Amino acid sequence: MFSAIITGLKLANWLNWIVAIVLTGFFALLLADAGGVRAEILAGRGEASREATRLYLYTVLSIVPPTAIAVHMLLTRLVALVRDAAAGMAFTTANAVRLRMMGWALLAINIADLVYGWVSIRASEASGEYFGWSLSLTGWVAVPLLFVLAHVFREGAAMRQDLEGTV
Amino acid sequence: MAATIPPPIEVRLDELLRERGMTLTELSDRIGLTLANLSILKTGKAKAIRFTTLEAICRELDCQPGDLLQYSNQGDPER
Repeated sequence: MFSAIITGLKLANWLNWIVAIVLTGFFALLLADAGGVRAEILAGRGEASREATRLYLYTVLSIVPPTAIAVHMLLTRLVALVRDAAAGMAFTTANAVRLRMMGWALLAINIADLVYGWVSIRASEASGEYFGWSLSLTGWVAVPLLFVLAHVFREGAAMRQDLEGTV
Repeated sequence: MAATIPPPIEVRLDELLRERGMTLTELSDRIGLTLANLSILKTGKAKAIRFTTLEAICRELDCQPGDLLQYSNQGDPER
């Protein structure tokens, strides 16, 4: 079961990078207006709409790479955590550090999502096209959960060390 | 740094075994504790000792807990 989870997480990380590269390429091409696609879509629209679209493209381009890095950090730490759990040595200081790192990574992802939401709503208002975003609270609940879990694992590691030194 | 200072509580298991002519393996068999764990106790690397372990050792070696453990302030880092 653990190996299947690890394989799934590794695949998810590959997918993360593929999607990030495709999105970055796509939005970079749109921003550079290669082939005049953007000009064609925005033809006949006002300056406010063009400005909102530019802001949208700049923001998406600047949040995709850091988000991909955060997702990479989250997934690789999770793989290491699952591997340690499978080996029966989950309660270690290294895993406590991993969980805390996952908490920070998820916080970064959530903030990136909020930033995306903000430009998305602005672009939707200005252009009249729906760019699509809705607030998700799941991620925000998971952040404190990860930090608390990190603390629990730190205590667990200390207890484990004590137990190993007990004869 | 801390590893060079001997712990203030000294485990005198070696001396007790020598006095009674018993080996560590023999004691391990008698009290049902693994040789690895008993070695940890003997070398003073143990962090804690269970009362059941203490009872078993005292029973088999016919001694008091005070014979097994000795406090010396030379190794105490607070002194």
